[in-house]
Order: sequence, then C-alpha cells, then structure tokens
Amino acid sequence: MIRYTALPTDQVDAYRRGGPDAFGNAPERAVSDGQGNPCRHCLREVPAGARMLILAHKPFVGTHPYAEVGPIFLCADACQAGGGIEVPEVLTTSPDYLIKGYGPDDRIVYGTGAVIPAPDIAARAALLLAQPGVAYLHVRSARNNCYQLRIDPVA
Amino acid sequence: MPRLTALPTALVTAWRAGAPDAHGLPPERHVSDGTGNRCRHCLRLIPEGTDFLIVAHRPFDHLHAYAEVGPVFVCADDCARHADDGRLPPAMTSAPDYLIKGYAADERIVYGTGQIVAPDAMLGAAEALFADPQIAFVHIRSARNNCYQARIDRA
Repeated sequence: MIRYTALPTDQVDAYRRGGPDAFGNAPERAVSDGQGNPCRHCLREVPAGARMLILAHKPFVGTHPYAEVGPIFLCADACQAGGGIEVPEVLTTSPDYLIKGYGPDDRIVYGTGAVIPAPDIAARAALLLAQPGVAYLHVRSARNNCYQLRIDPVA
Repeated sequence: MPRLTALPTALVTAWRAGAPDAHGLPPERHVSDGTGNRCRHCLRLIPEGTDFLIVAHRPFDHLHAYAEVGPVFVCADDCARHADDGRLPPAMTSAPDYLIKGYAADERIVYGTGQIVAPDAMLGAAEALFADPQIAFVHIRSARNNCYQARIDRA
C-alpha cells in the first residue's frame, strides 16, 4: 500500500502568515489562472481567480547537496489537507510525472527516477517502494521539475 | 546554433578550495565509479577512481522562488572548462533524453517551454525556443534525476 503525502499544515500555515521560504524570502502572492497551479497542501488545482502563494520550498528535513529547493504553489487561503490512499487531483492534470526514489539518508537512489504516465503512478510507486534501500518517493513535474508531493509506504 | 555554457571556472575553483555550496556547506568529496558522474565544468565523464566533488548548486544569480538548488558533480582536480564548438560533448549524449526548460530574463520558468528531448535534438529544440524573444536562456537537466547539467545561451 502507498500513501500520498502533502505538505504539513503547520508549515503551510506559516507560509500563509508570511513566514520565510527556503531562501528566507516571504512568499510571493499571485492570482491563479486555474491552469497548472497545483496546491501542495490540498493537492488540488488552485481555482482560477483564487489567490495563491509562490515560494521556494525544500522538501527535505536536512540540508545536503541532494536537498533540492524549488518553486511550489499553495492556496493563499485555508484549504483542507490533502493526501491519503486515493490518487489526488494534482496527479491527474498532466499526462506524466517524474518519480524518484530516495534512501533513508534523503539521497537519490540512482536508477529509480523515471517519467511515468499518470495512470501508472500507483503501480510504479508500489514497485519502487518494494525495492531495498528506497524509503520514500518524490513526484515532480516531468517538464518543469517542480515538486508535487511525497509517496510513502503504508506499513 | 546556440551555445552550450558550462559552470564558470572561478566558481568551480572556489569549491575545490573548500568554498561553501548553495546550502553553505563544504563540498563533499567522493570517488567516481565511472558511470554517470559528469563534471559540469569540463562536461566530461569523471573517470573511474578519480576524486570528484558533490555540491548543492543554484544556477541562478538571484534568490527567488524559481531559483532551484540541487546536486551537481565536478572534477575534484583541475580540468579544462568546456569550450563550445556548436556540438554536444560526447558525455552529454550518454542519456537517451534530457529535460530542457526556457527561462525569461527575470530567471523564471517560461511555462510551456519544458520538454524532454533526445540529445541529437537538444540544440535544435533550444534554437526553436530562442525564436521567442522572451527566452533569455535554457537549462538542461537530467530527465530522470532533475540534476542541472549546463546552460544553453542564444547564439
């Protein structure tokens, strides 16, 4: 079994209050055009006309060369935390996604990364998480690199 | 044809002397296994048994939400910076495909430009992107691991 994991609500709330992003900058505010602006908290598209945040996020606990930093979007207003065992909306809006496996040391497990058609993500994720040395997966945009969410094993 | 731009020698020389990476950490020193460790300065494969550095690099001048940070490799010892000759170096034709993305002068992704291309189509695809005057530069990344490879500049 696999679980789709969104950004923690306390971290998202901090960004909404203007808390610093991975570079120490306050999140930028923008208005969604409703096309390709996935919120990494509710894991849904930020609706057209709704306010959103753009900020640099580091989806890793520690800091080391593999701790990538890049842009993400969030609903600027409160939204319901997404994630769980059902495929979230944000993984259905592109034809494919980049999936990469990480070890318990938060480093890429080379050979696991591949661009996978959206309907095949769950099967690919289950396969990778069954591989020794893979602790969790990151899903990113195949074309823009942007971090989408984490996939964790369910014990 | 567009030009392929490797990391500046001054930056790489500083890392070799122990200067901090984009996360403020000293470069890590490793020994190459000869497979897939490409130096972003000479744009060659780092030979098996040779020391190399792993650093977090931010291939942008300014700190903003789109300024991605991620791991790169460089030779630990002196190497000759890649001199553009209008072609891809052999080490950059080793993967079946790469991700290229267009950026505007403000260093933000121009959405819609990101594409996964085979090595022999890469410079042509970049040239097509440069037909749009708002494209200031193009980044080449690993299509599987995200890692930054080199920049493509307008001819």
